[in-house]
Amino acid sequence: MSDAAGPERVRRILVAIDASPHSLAALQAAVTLAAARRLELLALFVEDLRLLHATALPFAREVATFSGTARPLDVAQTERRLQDLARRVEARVAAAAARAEVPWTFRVRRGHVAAEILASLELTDLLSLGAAGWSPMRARGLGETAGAVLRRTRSPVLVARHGTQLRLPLLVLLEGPGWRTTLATAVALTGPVRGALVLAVAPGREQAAREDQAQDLLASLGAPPSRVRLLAGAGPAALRAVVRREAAGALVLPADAGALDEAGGESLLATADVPVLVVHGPAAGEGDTDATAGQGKSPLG
Amino acid sequence: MPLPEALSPDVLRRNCDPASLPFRTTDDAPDPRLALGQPRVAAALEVGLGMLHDGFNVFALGDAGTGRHHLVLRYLQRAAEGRATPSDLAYVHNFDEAAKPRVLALPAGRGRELQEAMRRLLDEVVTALPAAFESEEYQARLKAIEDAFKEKPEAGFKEIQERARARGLAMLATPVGMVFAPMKDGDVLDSEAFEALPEDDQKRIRADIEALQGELQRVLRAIPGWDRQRREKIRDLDHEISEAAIGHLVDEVRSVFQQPTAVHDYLEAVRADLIDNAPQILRPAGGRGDGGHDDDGGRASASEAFLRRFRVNVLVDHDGQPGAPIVTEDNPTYANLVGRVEYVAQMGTLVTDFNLIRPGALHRANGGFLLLDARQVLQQPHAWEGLKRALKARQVRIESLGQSMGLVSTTSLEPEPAAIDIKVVLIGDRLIYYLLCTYDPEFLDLFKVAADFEDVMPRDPDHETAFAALVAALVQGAELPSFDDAAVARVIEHASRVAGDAERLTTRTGPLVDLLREAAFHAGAAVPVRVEHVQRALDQRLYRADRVRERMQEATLRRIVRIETEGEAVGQVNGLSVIQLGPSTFGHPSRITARVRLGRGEVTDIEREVELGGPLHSKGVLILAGFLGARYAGEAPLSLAATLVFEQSYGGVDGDSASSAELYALLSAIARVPLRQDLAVTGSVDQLGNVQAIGGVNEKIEGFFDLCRERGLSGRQGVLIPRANVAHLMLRQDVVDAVDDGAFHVYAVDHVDQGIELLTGHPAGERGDDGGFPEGSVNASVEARLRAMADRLSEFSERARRDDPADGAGAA
Repeated sequence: MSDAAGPERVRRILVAIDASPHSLAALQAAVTLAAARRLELLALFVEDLRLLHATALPFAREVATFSGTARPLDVAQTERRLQDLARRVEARVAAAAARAEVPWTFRVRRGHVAAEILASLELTDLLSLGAAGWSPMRARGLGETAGAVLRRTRSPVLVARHGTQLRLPLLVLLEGPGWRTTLATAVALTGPVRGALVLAVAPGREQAAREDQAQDLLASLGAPPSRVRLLAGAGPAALRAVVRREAAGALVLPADAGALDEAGGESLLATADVPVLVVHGPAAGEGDTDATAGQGKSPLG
Repeated sequence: MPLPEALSPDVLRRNCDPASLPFRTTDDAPDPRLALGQPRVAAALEVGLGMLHDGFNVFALGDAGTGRHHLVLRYLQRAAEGRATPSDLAYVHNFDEAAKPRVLALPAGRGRELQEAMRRLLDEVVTALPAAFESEEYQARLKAIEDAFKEKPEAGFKEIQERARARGLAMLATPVGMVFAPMKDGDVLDSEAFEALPEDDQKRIRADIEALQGELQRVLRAIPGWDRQRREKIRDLDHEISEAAIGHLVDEVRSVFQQPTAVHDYLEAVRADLIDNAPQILRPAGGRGDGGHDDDGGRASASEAFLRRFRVNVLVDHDGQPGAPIVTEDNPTYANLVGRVEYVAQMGTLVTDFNLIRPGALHRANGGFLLLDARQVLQQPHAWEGLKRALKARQVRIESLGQSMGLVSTTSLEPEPAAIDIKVVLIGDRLIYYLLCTYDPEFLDLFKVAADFEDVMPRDPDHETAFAALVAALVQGAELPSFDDAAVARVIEHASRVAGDAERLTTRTGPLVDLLREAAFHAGAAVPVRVEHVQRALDQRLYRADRVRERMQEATLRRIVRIETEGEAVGQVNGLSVIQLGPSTFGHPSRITARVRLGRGEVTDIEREVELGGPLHSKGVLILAGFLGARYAGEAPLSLAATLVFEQSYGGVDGDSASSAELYALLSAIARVPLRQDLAVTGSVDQLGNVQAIGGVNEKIEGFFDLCRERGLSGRQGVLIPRANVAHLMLRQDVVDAVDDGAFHVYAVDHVDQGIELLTGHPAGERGDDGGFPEGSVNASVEARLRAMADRLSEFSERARRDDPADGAGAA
């Protein structure tokens, strides 16, 4: 098995952060990961160009989410706010990284948020970001930016929600064509630690074979065998139940997993009580041996 | 008038015959009689403790050591046995007004049961509630509610977002709020691009944005209402689940405590409160909303603080106690009487709740008796007022001194006053009783019964026997080895001597117990304790207290203080005084002298002139002057001036017990007849010359005897005492023995004439039919001298008138 070019080798983590509660959880998850695996951290704050454009209009109003009042908002104010926010973000990053003794860099970019994240992601191997930004609908669901990034990248993306914390064990879903890459990435993130991973397989005729293949893959990566849990059925509910039962600290999903179909991977990402790492399988043509690469419709689309 | 005989030894001391006692050692003594020598007290206590009406509280007044506590306690025990065991008192949380805890009265023993039942109930509640709230049913229903209400604003936002998108507008989120912006090709228009749009488009966009802003505002303003609805639904759900989980647990407790109604009502309130509030405390943490930062420690203590309100603070527990309580409060401070509310320091502030209410003696004695020392109650600030307030109102209100005086208005707790039914027995001195009667108008209304303790009881065979039994009981009470009958007889004699009366016994048993202990100490391992041990204890006590007396006697023996104990002298007599120094009392002779000269009838009391004499002494001197004038100078002016003094007396003199001695000295000085110095005199006189009783007769006789014995008894020495004092004689055995040997004499005198005959060896003389005293009598000499002085005075006056006619003319 050789995934030499695959994303399972991780050296730098990008964390996209805008000081919103979810993004701070993403920062924490990234710091935890970086500290555990001696990775570098690149924190990115994007000054939203759309917002600057919007407030440049003379009739721009901001409707406050808490009080419901509408007040004029101009560019100067917005600039000030963005600078202030960037300073706050940098302070948070500095503090968190210092606590965990993680090397870090902080960059501020102005532009379209998703595009800037994707651009910076080119420099790194993994992205950690909050499930949503400042949207009043952030309590549930996946924000616009997260959705856009997930659709457009091939790097692993860790989606964190406020109130969740990344910890072991990781529950790895062995579903869909990209399951090998997913498992390899999970091993790369935890190292060969006994009990760090719990594997979940869907019931079906392939189940036993999949289990064996997975243990073989682990052996070949130098990792100890892992426990395997059988899902009670397809769909997010079964997966959530195993997460709870195993007290898993994160969920690792192949982006093309069948389990995420229909009911929607987005729904799983939106409701999971733990951070979710979405791993894309190898690009079409260099896919896993048993994968029907390219056929799986992305659940995030 | 017949010369008085010296008293025979058998009247000088009344011994107690051991054989007359009803036992040989105190081990086989009969039980002592209750209230021996205190029939008045017995009657008062019967009434005071028996009557249940208000204000029939008792004040036991008398000297310390008369067995007041002991006797009152015995009567209290008897009264308490016959009464019902009173209710337990407990404070519980007031669910309507937390600052005013409620008081519950429960049948004896039920307080502790309620406390225990509530503790068990809470134990069950804290396990049942979390289980109920973690159940699938609850979680599912909770999630359904949460979801339903989360969807409302989100659906609103989504709809607005959709509408915005449909009109080519973006909805952008900032940390503060939302901004709408026009879009083109998936990007927000900057101002230049916007300006480039046709004017109609611009107008339309602005109108759209305003409309959407309005809609967004509508959604945002509806959120609080939805939130409230959500909370209400959750509260209803919580209520339902709690009711199902714990309602029946409370009902079980309630079924056990149907009575009294107050307890039943309390449990009803407990039920309602538990169901209303418990979920907020017991619901598991985390996973909800944004504020999941509580750490478990904080929550546990919050829950514990909440659970405190369901405890039962049993103030008074009478479980298993028969009869009514008898409470003695040795430190009757205000707070120890009415109870207090304690505080605990929490995070730098002082906090309290009904669990920190502490009972006072009035709570503990409710339904029974409270025994207090009057002096101590009066010495404690506001304790007396607090006690009276409780007795008047028949309830105890627990408030701090600051609150009751209105100094502190920050209320902490105002516990509901507890109704009390109590009988208070105060024990105190007579002085305190009479002061309270005089100065506290409420006192007699609240303490209607006075139990007045006697200091002495009669000494007759019956009382002697009973007293012996009492001594035996004291021996046993003090856990001393047994005393034999002779030792007890000696103690009885001492009791008589303490009473200062051969026909009385002291009732002050306190000092007797000390004597018994000391005798037992001297006896060491010897059982039973014998008379010589008692005597040794007495001698030792005397010796310990004897330093001053010894110094005074030493000064006399060294003739620094001049007291003659033999020979004769004119105008000089030995008086006897008693000196009291702390616990010891002793007699000592004083030399009293009188000098006369020509004058106009004034008898000068030098002691009074220099303010060393008290009013009673002055009175005695004036009385004897009255006697003198009336008897010897009825028909002529009393033409002498006399001075009387206690020689070498540098302290104060009071009392009239020396007035007979002063009269003898005066008569001797007038008649120029010498007085025997080997006799000492005590007794007061009236204007008719009768000699009257005085106090301390035993000490006085012994004081003179001791001096004479040191100098060597001549066989002529003795003391003159008033006849009325013969009944008081309880002299030391050595004095009695000396009299028996004829070495010392005690004379009982009725009238000064008898005294003067003894002292001069001449007859006093009675007026004959001719109106004169017989030749050679002392009285005749006195009268003759006085007449001579009157003549001299009139001679002087005549001569003076002749020498100075102008003066005479002027006077005419």
